[in-house]
Amino acid sequence: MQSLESLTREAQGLAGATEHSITWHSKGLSANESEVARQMQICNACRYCEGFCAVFPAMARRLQFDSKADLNYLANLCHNCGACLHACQYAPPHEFAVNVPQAMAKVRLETYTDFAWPAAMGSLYKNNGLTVSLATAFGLALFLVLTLLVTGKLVHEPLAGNFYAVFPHNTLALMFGAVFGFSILALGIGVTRFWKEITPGAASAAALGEATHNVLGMKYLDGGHGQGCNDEDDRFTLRRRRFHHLTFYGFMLCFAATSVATLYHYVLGLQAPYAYTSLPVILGTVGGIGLLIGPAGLLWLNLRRSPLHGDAAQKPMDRAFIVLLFAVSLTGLALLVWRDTSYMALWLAIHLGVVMALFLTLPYGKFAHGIYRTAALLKWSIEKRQPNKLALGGD
Amino acid sequence: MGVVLKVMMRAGADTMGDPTQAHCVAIDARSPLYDGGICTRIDAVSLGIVVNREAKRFYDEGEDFWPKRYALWGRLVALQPGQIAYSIIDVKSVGRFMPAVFENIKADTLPELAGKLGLDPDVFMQTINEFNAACQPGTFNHTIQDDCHTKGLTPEKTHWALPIEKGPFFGYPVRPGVTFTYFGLTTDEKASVFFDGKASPNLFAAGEINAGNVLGKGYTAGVGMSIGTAFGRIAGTQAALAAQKIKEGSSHAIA
Repeated sequence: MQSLESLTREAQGLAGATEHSITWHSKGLSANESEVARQMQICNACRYCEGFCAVFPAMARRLQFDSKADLNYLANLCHNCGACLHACQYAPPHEFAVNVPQAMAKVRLETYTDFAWPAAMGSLYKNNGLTVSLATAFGLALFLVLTLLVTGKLVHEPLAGNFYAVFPHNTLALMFGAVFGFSILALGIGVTRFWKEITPGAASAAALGEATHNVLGMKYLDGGHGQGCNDEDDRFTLRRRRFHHLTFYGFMLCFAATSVATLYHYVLGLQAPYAYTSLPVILGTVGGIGLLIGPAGLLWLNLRRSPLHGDAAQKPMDRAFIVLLFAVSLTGLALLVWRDTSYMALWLAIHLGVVMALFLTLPYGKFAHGIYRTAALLKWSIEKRQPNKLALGGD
Repeated sequence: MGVVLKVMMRAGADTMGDPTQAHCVAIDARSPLYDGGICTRIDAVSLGIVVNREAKRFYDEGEDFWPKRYALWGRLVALQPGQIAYSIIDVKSVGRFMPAVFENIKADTLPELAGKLGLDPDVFMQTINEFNAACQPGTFNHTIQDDCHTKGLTPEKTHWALPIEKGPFFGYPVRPGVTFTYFGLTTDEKASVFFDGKASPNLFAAGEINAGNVLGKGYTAGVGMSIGTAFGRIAGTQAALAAQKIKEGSSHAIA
């Protein structure tokens, strides 16, 4: 029956959002969603955390927490900054046992799983450390074997950094283009369905601008007062926000390097290898350094985080993604350093294998948090501009 | 609770204040015994009526905006038989007050609600019917002191008086929640504790235990924290000075 059910889910997954909506809602509230609802009812009667982030003002626009869509929206709005937990008089050991960051984190994993496309792939979010390990093993094996098949050896006479002597440009463009295209499609379908479920309404230019600002500046890792969020204890620090910025902008610079190189290749007819002083190499190097420091810092913070923060079961997913990003930049920079030596093909295979693993797991790993959170933040920017139906009186 | 105060009283420290006065908030009767905190307050009082366990009203629910009435209503409930009361609203009030931490007690009819709250349905319905009949026409607005009031009731409800008639109906059991009492140790401006009318040279008190020296009755938001902060600093400084004096005295004696 399990296979029939998964086939049904897959068919419904392909059929579109309406069917998805029906199957999603028919499941009722999960245990984790019910726990968020319980905690939100306590928080909504207290409201001392309203200044920390968008979760609490969004909560205050509601009286009941019985809708899956609302609960998943609030969960994805939460940045797991920890501020409300450390401020809370109802946190454990109080009998109310309020731990909003943890409750929200558990629901977020359900969001990613429930909205994954194809639906059956949602299970990859569970045991995600294994998912990323297998993808990495597959990527490395694929490119090492391909290198051997093409060149017959991993160590060769220096090729002056000419990657295309090993893999033709079009082969790489096709392989990575197809995998990346699928990842974007899968994430796009998932987040589109999520967007329809949380019924945000139309986005004004002001709402779009604010949401963009909140995403690019990681506004809600500032603790609401600008001093930052909590890591291992009560202290506020901006470390997490800064390492996140290094990671995000490092990733974007690397992406820009690839995009510029693609333009060079197709528009200007300039073929790699590009000089160390060329735009693609400078963008990639600067981005790569950001993508080394950022993930290293995030991993360090992740290892030291208060055990009360977030969902311990998701640590393998968090760390697998962080380590994968680190490996992408490390192998990319190694390839740059040794591209003129006999080890270019070896480093190229390793780098491409790791990048392939990253692309394969984009829609089924920690990367999804940025996509769903962006959607939730945009909804908040829309929602806060809508008239508030409640008038609960002053406090 | 009050362990240190009792120890000090047994040791002969001077006390002050009215033992029946406290910062005492009307809270949900289902709250934890300790540390229920802010979320347990019941905010619906001014929108409906409040009855005691005899199902009778006992105070003007519409006297002022609810946030200003916290301190008063805790004490009012404390003075009722069994120290319990019930805030009753109908569906019109939903969305007009701060949400409660516990689920409301809900019923489709008023007699059913009385049953669920353990109140005598006949007395309860008499209270409701008298209240509803006394409500004067007006323009309801819960964000200002509106002109909806009763006429001919004892006690009257002076604002926000709308008939309780549209189901479903909701009830919240209310008990007094003590934040701190105003009965404590006599202290002076240096936070010194007194014995037989004399200030102790080396014993100082700050916080809830000396708040009654400032507060006689009633409460203003934040005043308890202000008293604690100001006298905490003063008591700490005085204690340090007293310790220094003792140390100097002993070293002088040795010399």
